Amino acid sequence: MVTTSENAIPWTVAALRLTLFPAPSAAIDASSWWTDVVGEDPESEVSNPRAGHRSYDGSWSDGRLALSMKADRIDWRLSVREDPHDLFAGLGPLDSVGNKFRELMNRWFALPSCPTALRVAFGAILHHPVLTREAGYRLFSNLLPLKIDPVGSTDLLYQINRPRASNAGLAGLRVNRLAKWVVAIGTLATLVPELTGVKSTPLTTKFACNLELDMNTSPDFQEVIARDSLPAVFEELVRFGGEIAQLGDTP
Amino acid sequence: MTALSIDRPLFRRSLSELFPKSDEKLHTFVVTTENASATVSASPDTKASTSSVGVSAAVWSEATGLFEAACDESFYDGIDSQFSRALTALVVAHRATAIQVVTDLIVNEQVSSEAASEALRCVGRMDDPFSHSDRRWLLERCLFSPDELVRDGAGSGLLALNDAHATQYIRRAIQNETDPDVRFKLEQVLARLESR
Repeated sequence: MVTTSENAIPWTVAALRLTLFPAPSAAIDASSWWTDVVGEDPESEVSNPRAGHRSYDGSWSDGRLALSMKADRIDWRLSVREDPHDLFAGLGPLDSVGNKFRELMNRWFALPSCPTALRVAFGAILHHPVLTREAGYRLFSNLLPLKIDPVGSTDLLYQINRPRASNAGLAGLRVNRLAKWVVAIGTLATLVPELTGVKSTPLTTKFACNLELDMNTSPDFQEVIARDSLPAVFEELVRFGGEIAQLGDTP
Repeated sequence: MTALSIDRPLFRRSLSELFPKSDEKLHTFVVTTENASATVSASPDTKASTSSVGVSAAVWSEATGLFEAACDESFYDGIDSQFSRALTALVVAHRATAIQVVTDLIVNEQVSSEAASEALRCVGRMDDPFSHSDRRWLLERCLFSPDELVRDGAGSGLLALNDAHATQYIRRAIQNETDPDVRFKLEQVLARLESR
């Protein structure tokens, strides 16, 4: 149970990701994953047989959903539709969007063809627009164990991993809780290709607090994560991510 | 801070995306971090990150070139080849990226069986702790290849890698193995790893 801090930032989700690293012995039959999980055909399908990459893409909820597969990893990504008039558009609060995404992924975990895993990850990119860099730093100073000088400093980048033991029912499993905090700058610009290069004329510049989360099971875990353990493990990863977003950098 | 910080870590845009073949003015946006240094995306501990590793065209091209050239070379078990030396140099220089390319090429059966088998033996012999788990995954995965030469190479590679983690997969591979020579080899590898 995560208690909301009074200093919590009202993040909006820019992107979410589930990554599954299949066990070496896992047989991958992805032919019906998209339709079984999403309930309809994808809008596009791209295959690169030489590199062994395949991806599917389509609208889902208010965003874009993509499934991509390589030899050693499978990614489901939910991202915001790009909008040049809203540089930091979002899908909604992490709680609700994260739960919807998790329910979607549970449909995949329930498929008999969902592979066993060596490693699972939950990634998120969260935004919160602010008027200035200083305003972003002031918000960060409530959530990070740093003394930040909001006026006299720039270029803040805070990244840390806070590993923690898992309680998802797999003995010895540890979770990396990697978080990266920055103030992002969005620039709307007119770009004109010229013979000597590119001429850029900025039109608007906006700032946002930006938090990148990468909650993942440790590569040091020696066992295979069975399909029926995946929902509990992923639920825990999403919960750990939500905790950092709410409470900031805590051990 | 300029609007064209397109190689910054967040929401990168490539020039080809920004500028399709057109000389029209384009309104677009670029989201970056504000960091002044171009090296800020370097992670202090990449082992904890699961972000997708981008494969540069140069590494891809170099690796595929090595495998193509390997078609003209003969390989002998236990003897370094020109191909294996070049492959080792590629992995030392590019680590995860190089292993990613080699994995893609071998697992997706885009290279000759002989070259794949030699590459797997070489991958097992490399002394590079940073890429150990990626190399181990490739070798374990190739135990289940439909090609017996590749499975044979994976067995040799795992013997050289000398990591007991592989025993669970070798046991399973032995159960599935249809080629008696490969099965015999895998049984020997299993015995060695279990007695270490």
